[in-house]
Amino acid sequence: MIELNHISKTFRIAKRNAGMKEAVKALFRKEYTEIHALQDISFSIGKGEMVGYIGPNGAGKSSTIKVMSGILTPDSGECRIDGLVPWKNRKEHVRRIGVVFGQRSQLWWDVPVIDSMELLRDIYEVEPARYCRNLDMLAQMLELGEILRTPARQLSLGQRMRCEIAASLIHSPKILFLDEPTIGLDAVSKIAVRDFIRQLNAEQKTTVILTTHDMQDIEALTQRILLIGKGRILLDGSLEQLKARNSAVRTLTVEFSGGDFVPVEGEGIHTVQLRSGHGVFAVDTRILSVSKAIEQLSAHAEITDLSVAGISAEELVVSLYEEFQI
Amino acid sequence: MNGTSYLLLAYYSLKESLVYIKNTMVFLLFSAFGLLIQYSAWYALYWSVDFMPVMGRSFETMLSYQILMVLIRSFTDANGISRQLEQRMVSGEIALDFLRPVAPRGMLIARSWGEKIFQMATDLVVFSVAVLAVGGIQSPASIEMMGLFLLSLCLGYLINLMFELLMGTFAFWFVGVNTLKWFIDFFQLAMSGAIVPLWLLPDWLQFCTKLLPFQAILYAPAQIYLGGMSNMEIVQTMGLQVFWILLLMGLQELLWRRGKRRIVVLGG
Repeated sequence: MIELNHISKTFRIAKRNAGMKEAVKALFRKEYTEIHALQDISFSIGKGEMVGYIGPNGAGKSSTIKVMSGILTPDSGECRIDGLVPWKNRKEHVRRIGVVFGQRSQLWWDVPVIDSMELLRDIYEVEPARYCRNLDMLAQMLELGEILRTPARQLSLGQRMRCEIAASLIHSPKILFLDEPTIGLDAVSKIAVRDFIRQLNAEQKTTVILTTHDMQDIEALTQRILLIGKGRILLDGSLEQLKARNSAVRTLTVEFSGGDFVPVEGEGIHTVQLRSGHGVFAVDTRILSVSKAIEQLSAHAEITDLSVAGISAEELVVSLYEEFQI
Repeated sequence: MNGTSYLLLAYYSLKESLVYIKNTMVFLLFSAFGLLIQYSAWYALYWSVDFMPVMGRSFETMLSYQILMVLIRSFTDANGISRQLEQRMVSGEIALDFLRPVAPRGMLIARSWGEKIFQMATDLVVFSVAVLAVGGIQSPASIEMMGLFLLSLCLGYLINLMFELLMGTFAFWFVGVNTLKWFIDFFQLAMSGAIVPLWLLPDWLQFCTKLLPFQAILYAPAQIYLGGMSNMEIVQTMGLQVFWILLLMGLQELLWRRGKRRIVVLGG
């Protein structure tokens, strides 16, 4: 359904050094730095998939979304979405997709949200009956209600984001691109947005591609993860598969009484954190089994409480970024 | 997107303008005040020559010209399309326009019409009050002439629209078009006949204005309205207007197509 082959894009941006002398020099001769925003990006996404697109800031996430939504023309490579080349068949293509840029509003600032919705209805030529159905459904699921009659500029961030998502779905697109949809939201709003996206994917079979820095988004929503760094796709797999790469590591959190702990550094175990009565240790189970590790630890002090945990998504990403040095 | 959605877009933009109605009231006052100053200046000039014609134009013609200019300027105004375009490019909102199954420039123009209708309504108030205050202005020689004036007025609007779009399109390459536009606006004000009728200018300066599109926006329709042009001259004037529209449109289209590829917005 979505097919990217060897997409590359290089930006040239003017280099500016600090200082008056440099500023004057820049008037006459500009120096440019080339930024390889995307390098040889290839992947395919099937219908109804929910894919998380992760990577550090400036890795090329948004650029990829822009290529897929037809805003950005790549220098080379192919991209077909439902048989269409986004930047060549722009008008036809954008009818089938919905896009939310978390940092940018597509709502009309000074008029009530409902007016923006009606305008979108006309722009996308949504039949009145279907428009009413979609709006009702979205208003109910995203709990819009009175918010619809409020001008966008008076909304809180969470309210606005819910409206943005509703606005991107009013024409029932088959594919939804979400660029950091939960940025800046409070916990309640985040959960509401996540629940909605999950429901949408399950019920309407909408393909969802989402970029985020919030690993809870990834954990809650996506079955598949694409990791991008410095413009290249580094990994493509499920969250479980990625976790399995680091599955050998277990975190032991220990509460203890009596006796003093010396930091344990040995074969397959090292101390992450240690203060009186509380210690966190990382154990590589390929070298040292958990029971052996506990045995080692209990030799030092009386253990009162103990928990064993696998790696969290957050830690996983940190370790991935470290591994690929991005 | 069908025609009605452009109308709807204009309607919402009009509604949006109404939010800022207080600003408009201030502009209305400014506009009326400006007209009053001009009236005083021309009155002083004609008083000094005992109300004899100056450069072949009577005081009545001069007054009619200035009052008519309120309407002509209002109608041919492109309502800051270049500013809007630059703003959307700098802020990155232009990308959102490309996400809709419509023409981004069409949306921009439709939006500007919402503001335009509102602004024309207020200018019409100033115009009407001024006409009543001076006891009526000259009317065109015939109903045909009126028709030609209206046609020329529309052509004038199109020239200005294309010019503003062209200026805005430069923002794909340099941010700061607005500063440039500010200078051009000043120049335009002098060379288009907005403040001083071009018949008062020395010949060499009149010749210069003919090389620029600005006089074809404001001065040309005003001349047709006030008469004193042979049929041949009218055809030539309108031909020149069409020439400017096509030239500016062609340039704009060329730059737009190249510029579109430069959309590098919204970060990473």
